[in-house]
Amino acid sequence: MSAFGAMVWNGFREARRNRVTVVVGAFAAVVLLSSTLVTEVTVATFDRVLTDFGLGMMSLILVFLTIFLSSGLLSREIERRTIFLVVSKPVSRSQFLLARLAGNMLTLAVLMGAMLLIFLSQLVMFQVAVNPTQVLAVVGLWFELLVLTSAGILFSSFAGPAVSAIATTGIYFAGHLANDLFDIAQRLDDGPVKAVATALYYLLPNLEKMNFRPQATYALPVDASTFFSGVGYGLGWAALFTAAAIFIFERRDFR
Amino acid sequence: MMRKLPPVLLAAGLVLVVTLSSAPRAPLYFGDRPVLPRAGFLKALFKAQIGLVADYFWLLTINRVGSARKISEYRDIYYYADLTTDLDPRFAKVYTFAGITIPIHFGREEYANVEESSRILRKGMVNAPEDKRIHFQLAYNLMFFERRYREAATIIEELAKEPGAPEWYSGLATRLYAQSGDFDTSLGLAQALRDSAEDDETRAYYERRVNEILQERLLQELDAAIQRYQQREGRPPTSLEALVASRDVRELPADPLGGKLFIGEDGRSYSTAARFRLEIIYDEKTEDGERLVPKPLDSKSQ
Repeated sequence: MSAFGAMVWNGFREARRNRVTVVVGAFAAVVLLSSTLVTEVTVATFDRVLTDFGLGMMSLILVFLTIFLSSGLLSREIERRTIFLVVSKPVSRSQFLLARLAGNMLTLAVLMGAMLLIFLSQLVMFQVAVNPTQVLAVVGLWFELLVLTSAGILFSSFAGPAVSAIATTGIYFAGHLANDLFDIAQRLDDGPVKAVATALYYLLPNLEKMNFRPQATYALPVDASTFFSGVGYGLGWAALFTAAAIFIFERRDFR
Repeated sequence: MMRKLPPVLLAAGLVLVVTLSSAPRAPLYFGDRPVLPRAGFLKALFKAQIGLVADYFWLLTINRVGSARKISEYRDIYYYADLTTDLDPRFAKVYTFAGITIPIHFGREEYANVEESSRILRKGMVNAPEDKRIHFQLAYNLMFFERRYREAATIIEELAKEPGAPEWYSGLATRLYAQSGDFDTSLGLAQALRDSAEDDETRAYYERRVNEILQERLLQELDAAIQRYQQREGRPPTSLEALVASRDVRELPADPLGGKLFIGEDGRSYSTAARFRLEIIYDEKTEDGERLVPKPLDSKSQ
């Protein structure tokens, strides 16, 4: 196994050892299964409620786990001085950072895969039609988490865990409300305020581009161009955040 | 001192919790409406999980229906449904569900909460126009609760044009136009349906409907004459002939359907050629299950 692969695997093992991840995984399973109870009290909108609760809970739980995991990724290593073990080895800092990112995304992918299995088995159990959009919504969520993880790592490269967590949470809310910001900006009269608001929209990662849950609610198809442009856009922002994180991390003095 | 603190805290805490534990307080009200979170606030906070949050309030909406006993509690359903559809305007099921459950019948064709029911249905027609059940439900409200027959007729006429619409929609539209007193529209619609009929049965149905509309126009004129007579004389006329004698009508008109005209027990005019007038018919029965049909004022005029 290469040094990079070993570091990725190590990150995954660490997350698995981390009690929070295990607890969250168990909690997610309980929540998903308890959405069965929710369907007991609904009328005529069974398919929709099951889909919304499954995907909605999945996104809520995983977003907060992502923020928790990514915001402490580098700062914790620096605080505990374990970073010296790594930088004294023949691996570059950027390799280390990328490996931490990949380890995190592997952890999230495994958790998400398990949740998707629970979700799909529920749909099958209740004889609800499984449509491809439900799966696309989960894949889209993974790319949203990738953007959030890379943002978390960026903040974590120069700030403590608490500040990183708060800033990443800010990116999450701002990213989902970016559409509204753009709408408001379009209604303004031409001028500096409109220019600044529009510029701000383009400076924020629009996380709604990777959110296909509303389409899943109504079992609407998502065409390939919409899906891939959303995914590509997410990859672009992740690359930008990661590049900035590497730039800062390479130049940091750990004393 | 410090050693004793934990057990003291534990005991005090237990006493407080046990004595103060109670069932949840009743929901808050502001005036006569339940206090609910603002849709804009929920949209901003849960933008990424809006479907989940809309469904949560949808479940609460259903829950209100289950627990509603009083008229005001049925009206609460409106506020929950309104919030749910603010969060997800395309959630068509909420409009029909709330529209059907909100109005309450409290005897002899009197209904409460009609305004709220129609308001949520109108909102549905704007936000989910493709769901025709919302349109039909609003037409139902207009017919039975609000007695705005012309508006109901317009909606039903539109619905009748939809592919796969039940055949009786067109007939209902002509009936509603006639009841609203808009005989020209009603006649025009019935004649158009008669002329475009592709089979003899349909053509015969609308041929009869044209005559029913002409008959209803006549009967409404006679009803007006009966009203005038009653206001002037202080008592209802005993027969239609009395109206001719008192010059309230020039002559007894001929029934387009060939029946004999008479005054019913309820003081309105009827024809022997049609069991009911051309209006919304309530399926009312006597105590021994016999269908209530208009009866003449005195059996001799039959």
